[in-house]
Amino acid sequence: MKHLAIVLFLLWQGGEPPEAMTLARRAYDAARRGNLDAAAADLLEAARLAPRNALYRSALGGLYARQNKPEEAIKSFREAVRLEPGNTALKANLETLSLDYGAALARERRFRAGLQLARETAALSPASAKAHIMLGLFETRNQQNVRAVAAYRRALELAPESSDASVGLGIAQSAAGMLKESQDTFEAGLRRFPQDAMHRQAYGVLLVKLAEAGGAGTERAIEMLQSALALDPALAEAHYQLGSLALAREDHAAAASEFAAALGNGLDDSRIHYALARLLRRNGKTEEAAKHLRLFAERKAAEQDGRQP
Amino acid sequence: MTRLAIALLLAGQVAAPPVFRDITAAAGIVWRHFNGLSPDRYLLESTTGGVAVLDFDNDGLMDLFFVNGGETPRGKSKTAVRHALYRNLGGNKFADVTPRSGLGATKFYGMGAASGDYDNDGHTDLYITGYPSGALFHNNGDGTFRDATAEARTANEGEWGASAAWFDYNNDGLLDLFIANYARFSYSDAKRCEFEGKPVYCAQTAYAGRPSRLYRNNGNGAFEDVSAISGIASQPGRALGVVAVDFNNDGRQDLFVARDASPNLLLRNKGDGTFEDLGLEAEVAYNADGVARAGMGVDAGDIDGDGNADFAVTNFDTEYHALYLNPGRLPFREATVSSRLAEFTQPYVGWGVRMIDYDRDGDLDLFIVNGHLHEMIAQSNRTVSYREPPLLLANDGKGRFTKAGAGPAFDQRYLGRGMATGDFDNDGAVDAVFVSLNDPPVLLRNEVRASNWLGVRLVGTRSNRDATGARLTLRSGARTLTRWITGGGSFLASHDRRVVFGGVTLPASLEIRWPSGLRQTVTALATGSYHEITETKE
Repeated sequence: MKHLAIVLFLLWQGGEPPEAMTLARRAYDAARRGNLDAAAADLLEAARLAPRNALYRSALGGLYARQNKPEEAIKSFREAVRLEPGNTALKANLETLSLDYGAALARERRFRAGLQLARETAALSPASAKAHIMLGLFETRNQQNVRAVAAYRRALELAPESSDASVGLGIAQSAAGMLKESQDTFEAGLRRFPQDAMHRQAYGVLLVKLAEAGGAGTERAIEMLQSALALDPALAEAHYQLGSLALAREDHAAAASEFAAALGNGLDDSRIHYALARLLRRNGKTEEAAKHLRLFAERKAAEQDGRQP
Repeated sequence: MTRLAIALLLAGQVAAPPVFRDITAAAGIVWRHFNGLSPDRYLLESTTGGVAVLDFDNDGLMDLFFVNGGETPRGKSKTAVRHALYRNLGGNKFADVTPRSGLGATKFYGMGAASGDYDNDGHTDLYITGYPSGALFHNNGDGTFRDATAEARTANEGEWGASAAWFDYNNDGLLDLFIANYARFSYSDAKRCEFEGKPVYCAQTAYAGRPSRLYRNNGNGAFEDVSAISGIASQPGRALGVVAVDFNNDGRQDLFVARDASPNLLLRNKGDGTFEDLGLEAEVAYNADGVARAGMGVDAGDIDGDGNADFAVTNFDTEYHALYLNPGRLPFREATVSSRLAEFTQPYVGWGVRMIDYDRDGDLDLFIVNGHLHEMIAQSNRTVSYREPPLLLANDGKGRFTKAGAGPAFDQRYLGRGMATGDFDNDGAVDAVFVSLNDPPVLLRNEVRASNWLGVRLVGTRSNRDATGARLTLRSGARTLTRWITGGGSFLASHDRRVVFGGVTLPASLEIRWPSGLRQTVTALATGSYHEITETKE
């Protein structure tokens, strides 16, 4: 509300067309009464009557954000930034909104929409490491692995202290088939972020893949995953990976322990239930295995129903 | 090899003789595949290209049949799109006999081929799969074929059929027909996807999988669709490859169906006309993370020498082509990593796959053809390319592979799809042929010389004449080699049904378990030649 009041004050000072200002004032009152739809409609009309006024746009963006309409909010803020490119507060608002919306799109598995948003955000905020990390994520999710490498590399240049950027770069390089570069990135990350458990977990996953494809034994992978767990015993993915390695060598006791830890730390996807079903069947626990197979099928269906546009 | 030759070889100055030599042009094969590539990028275009190795004229020489794709609404050809039948003239020469054969054209977009003598008249017939139907061609025995689809009722109407397999599921002495159906598809309901603003094939998951089909042979020229009562119809999914083999040694032919981002099926033949899927129990349905891989081709054979049928399945890049070892009980053991198959196949999208003993040392090796779908894949993954080389992987006898230096053809890159094997020159060295999208096919002559082999051609009397489903056990010295005459196998392909045993020392005895259940032992066996063995009456 405070933001909208400032807008109206500035408009009064600036000599805006009276109809636009009247509408903006009415929008302010409507917003105060909690009628956000009416407020947004009036501000939209005010913006149409005064198309070069960035403040109407930013106020409208704020209203849309309150209405949980992130796409409209981002569009309005982008228009405001276009009208006032030097306004850093507007840019910061837009970036925050875009990053939040990007996170929501990633959770909803709307990777194509996320990529579009991320590319626009990175273009508008070329010095933002977070924007480039988001871009890297969505490029990877859209199989644009080489582009993802570039995005993460830029993020790491902008924020050398960002372990997220380092991990993302290593993963993107691996997906792009740049395995040597990926290992180099993770090794550098180990030196730069020695206490970063997530970094060690991600490197461990890569080392598992390298071992499968004949690049190395599993010993280093196991060592890396265990070192991640030493820093953070709640890393479910590390437990799952160690369990899978144990099951592959038919060490059922170790597999059971690791899978239980993965489950206990919140891993509840199709993989863990399939792995448990395999393990339990080997141990003759067919009823429990069947239960996990049912859960596997349920999780699988839910994962496949995930939105893709 | 002399010491000088060895020294020169080691110095890289003398190339090793190729195991397989590309003789396509010299053999007179000029047919070219056409897939109707268009800006619409119909997924159909990326999965075509079948081939069959068959002796259609019973002259003792393996002939070739190539299945063409076809035109699509915006993918037109400047010349007539036709299939091709090449007659083997001997001396590694082939003649195009398509016009006289009646096999040149079909009314549908072509996919694969399956050959089999469904009426036991001694002449090999042919089924061609495709979209939106398939066709059965009866071999008239005079070099011509007759379209018998209508009377046989085997059109597979409305479906996108991929690989097919002739096998006798009810052991009545008549070959039945399984067709691996892929997905719901229509030119008018095509999916549209882009990469970097250019059209690309959409992921297979955009297309809903379809049930496969099983036709039971009634013995009077007609077939009955038993997909529903057999349980086959209750397993929809994107099926691409199929092999029929008795995996549990109960005398009944089972099916392994490779499916694309749908769980693979291991269909146990229950002996009462129905099948049950044991894919989950066998742990062949998914990979260790519970992911259904992009199964394309599949083949069966005894990789580790324990007398049980193992399975190799080709998959997408980074998924690894899979090897499942059958210990004679469930679950199977996935040996993709321990066999080094993961290491050798990681960058490839695989299609045709065959277990052949290329060097006749008694172990089944792997021949695999590869080729990607996406022209721009290198922009996404630096280690993956659009055109990819075939692979020849030599088995150490325990199921661990090394990459064999196989000749220049294995350094070339193709868009490999259907691949079939057979001994074109009857020298006991199994040759291979494969189709590459929109290119001439590739005919590879196996040039490994050996004398310690023996070949077997079975002729069923109570069993189906092709003896599909027979299990052969050769005892030779300290070794016991087990082979099967399988139905289907590889991708979109059909093969020389003769079995070649390598690493044979005499005396040797061969036990045959015919599909009829009859056991027959043959001892008067010589190496260096083929033996025709007819099923005895008792």
